[in-house]
Amino acid sequence: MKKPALPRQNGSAQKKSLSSLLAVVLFLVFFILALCANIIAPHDPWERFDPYLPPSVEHWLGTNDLGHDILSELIYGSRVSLLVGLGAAVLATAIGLCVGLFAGYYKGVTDEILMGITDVFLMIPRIPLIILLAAFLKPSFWIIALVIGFLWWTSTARVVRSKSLQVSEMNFVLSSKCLGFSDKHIIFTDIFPNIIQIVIPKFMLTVAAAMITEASLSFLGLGDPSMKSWGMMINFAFTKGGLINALWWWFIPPGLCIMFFVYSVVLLGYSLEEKEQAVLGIS
Amino acid sequence: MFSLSLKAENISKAYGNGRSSKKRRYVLEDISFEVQKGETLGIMGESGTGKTTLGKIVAGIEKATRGEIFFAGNSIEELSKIDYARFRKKVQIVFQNPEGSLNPKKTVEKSFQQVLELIGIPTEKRGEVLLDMLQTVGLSEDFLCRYPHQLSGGQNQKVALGRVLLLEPDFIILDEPTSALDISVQAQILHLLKEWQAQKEIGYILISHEREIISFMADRIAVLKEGRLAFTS
Amino acid sequence: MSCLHIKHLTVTFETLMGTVVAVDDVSFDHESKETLALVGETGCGKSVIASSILKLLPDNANLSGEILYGDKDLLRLSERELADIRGQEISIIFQNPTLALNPVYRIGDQISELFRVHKRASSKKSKAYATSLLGRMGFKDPEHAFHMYPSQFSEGMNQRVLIALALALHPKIIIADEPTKGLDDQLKEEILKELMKIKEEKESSLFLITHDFDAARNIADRVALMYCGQIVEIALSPDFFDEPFHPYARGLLKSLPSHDFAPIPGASPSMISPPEGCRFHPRCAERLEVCSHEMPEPIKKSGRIIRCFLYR
Repeated sequence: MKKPALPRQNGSAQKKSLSSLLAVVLFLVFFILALCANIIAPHDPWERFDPYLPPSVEHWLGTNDLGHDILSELIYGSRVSLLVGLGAAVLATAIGLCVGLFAGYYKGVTDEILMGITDVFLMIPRIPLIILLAAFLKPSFWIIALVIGFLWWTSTARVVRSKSLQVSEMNFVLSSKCLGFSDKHIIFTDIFPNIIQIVIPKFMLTVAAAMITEASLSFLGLGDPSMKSWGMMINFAFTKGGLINALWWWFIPPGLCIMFFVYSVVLLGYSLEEKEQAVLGIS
Repeated sequence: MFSLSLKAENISKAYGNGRSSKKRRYVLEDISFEVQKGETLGIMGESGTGKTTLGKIVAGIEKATRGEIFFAGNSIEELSKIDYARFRKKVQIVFQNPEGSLNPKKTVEKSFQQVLELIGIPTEKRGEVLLDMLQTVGLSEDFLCRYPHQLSGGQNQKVALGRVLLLEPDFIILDEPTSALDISVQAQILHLLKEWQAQKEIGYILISHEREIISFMADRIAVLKEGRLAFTS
Repeated sequence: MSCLHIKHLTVTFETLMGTVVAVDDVSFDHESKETLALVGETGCGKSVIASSILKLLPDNANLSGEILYGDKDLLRLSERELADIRGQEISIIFQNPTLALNPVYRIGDQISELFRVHKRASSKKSKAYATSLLGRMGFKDPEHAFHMYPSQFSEGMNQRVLIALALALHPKIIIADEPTKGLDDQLKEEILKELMKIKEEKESSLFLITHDFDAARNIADRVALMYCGQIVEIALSPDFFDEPFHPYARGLLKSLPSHDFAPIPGASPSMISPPEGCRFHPRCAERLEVCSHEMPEPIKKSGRIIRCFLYR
């Protein structure tokens, strides 16, 4: 039979689809920048010109204290920021997915232990811990990504667990059990495909969180000085007098980049989540 | 003569996690029955009497609070790994809600393929076996590339039955297999079930709230009421 | 005197898979005070007919034909004019009672709202109306029921509330779309009894849509049978159940328990590409040469309307 009448497409729905289109475009722009940095950037980011040059035809965004071209730095910086964000999010999502799937499928003691661990991780004050770690370990870009990944999986694990609890009670999972399929087979071919749609938006939000964390750490001077991320650029602008002398072309562009990229990722995450809810008929 | 049977002995099931017996609510109490290969035991009960729970316990996918299930004379709790795998293959269950019995993210073909792989049919023979099974359950080849939501309730139920039949089970537990279906489809499925029983000597435990269906299908009838099972003549 | 004429109603839906013809050239009259049961299997389009009478269809639906109520064509009324008819003149009872009630409002408020909006009654008066209505629907303590939320009621009780809602304004026509689907046998009987009682009291007419043949046999005056978007037979209920004319009707009645579930071969066709000629001919045991390429038109025969070449 036909479903009852759907609400008409109204203005707000159109606005929503427009904003998700914007998010996709922004995301793609940054992604291409990062991927083809060596082709797009006008100069090598380590090449030296005259320091403190204002924006000109030669250097669209001027140069910094060491004479590096800021536009090129910005373009190469997208690589670092994206790598940290994506790397940390991949790790966090993988851990969260496994913990959530196993807890939700096996239930009982396994569930209690795994969720206990999740609660412990949830209580860790994350930023102070990272600051401590960064201070003791040699600040390196990979360590930062790793640490963020190891700390940001908890909410994914919880969402995945509750959904897989629900899915594993459904008849097709019981049928698979009864037909004699292995647990591994059931978890990865029966349950996983039915929760992937809630994991993707969660992944996008983790990317955003990881990028902001990396930027904050770099700004605090705990980043990797050999890798020029956007956060690192703001940090240099701050410590090397860019801010005091109001050299706006130095600190505003990386800030805007962080803002727009995080914005696009979060929007993308939300619109994916909404799509999922629309499919399920919630919202 | 040795005959293969599926037996439930003093099955009780309680919900609620209170340690003291007062806090527990028993949905099933001391249920015992035995089914032989080739016969149908009809269990009749209104909704909310624990019919579905009983079906799941007998199929071995839910644990009883007390009591045991015996397959071919051995308690399924004490089976060796090999024997348990045999039990798992030989005792199957079909659920009431046909839409939920198939993974919504898999095509019908994939759903079948995975069972064929599981039971170790060589790749080159799978196509043939699959087509045979489709014919048995009365579905055409075009259904293979469809997803469960593109099928009607009856077609979904036929796919679910076909998957189960591939394992050549000795016993199938049928939990309201037709209650969500239209009457003409219900008639088709009931007749299919009868045909298979005659051909392959399958034992059925048919759980339903409809007296007419039970009396049409069953050799023996039991009524589930307030958690207890009573046999009628 | 007939109160609802449906003439050549056709409803199509545009979907990604193609155009679905859910209702195809359906015509029938609904007499006042009679109980007409529209029976058919899942997906034959019977609920779409119910929804099109009050124009409660999704945006991708295209309607043509006429639905005459008195001298008004319901399909051509504006939303505002329809709002006056919905509930007051024609009301509808949906199949899923728990979903059809708003979970965050009390039962009593949902009923009394009707009186406030449609009759402009004061809130005190409408509360009194609502309480007496609940009492009449078989609630032992209507005061108590007034203050309950839908989630605190069982499915059967919610269905009674819905019936109360549908009958509150004494409509002339009650449309009940599978009112007993998913309910226990005992509840089914009670709900139908309740429905009939009120219908007799108020002298309304009842348009019952169901897949339950027993319900249709028990309460309907006339039965209309649908197959794949078309009405294939309309007859008085005793005639229909004693001696159905259409081969599909005969097959269906044989699938009932009383005939040992003798099945009709094949399955209902897709509504996107229905078979040519008579929709039922691929499954029909008595098909003629003409059935496979020509569509039978509905004809009158011994007090029935039937769409089959066997009775030409």
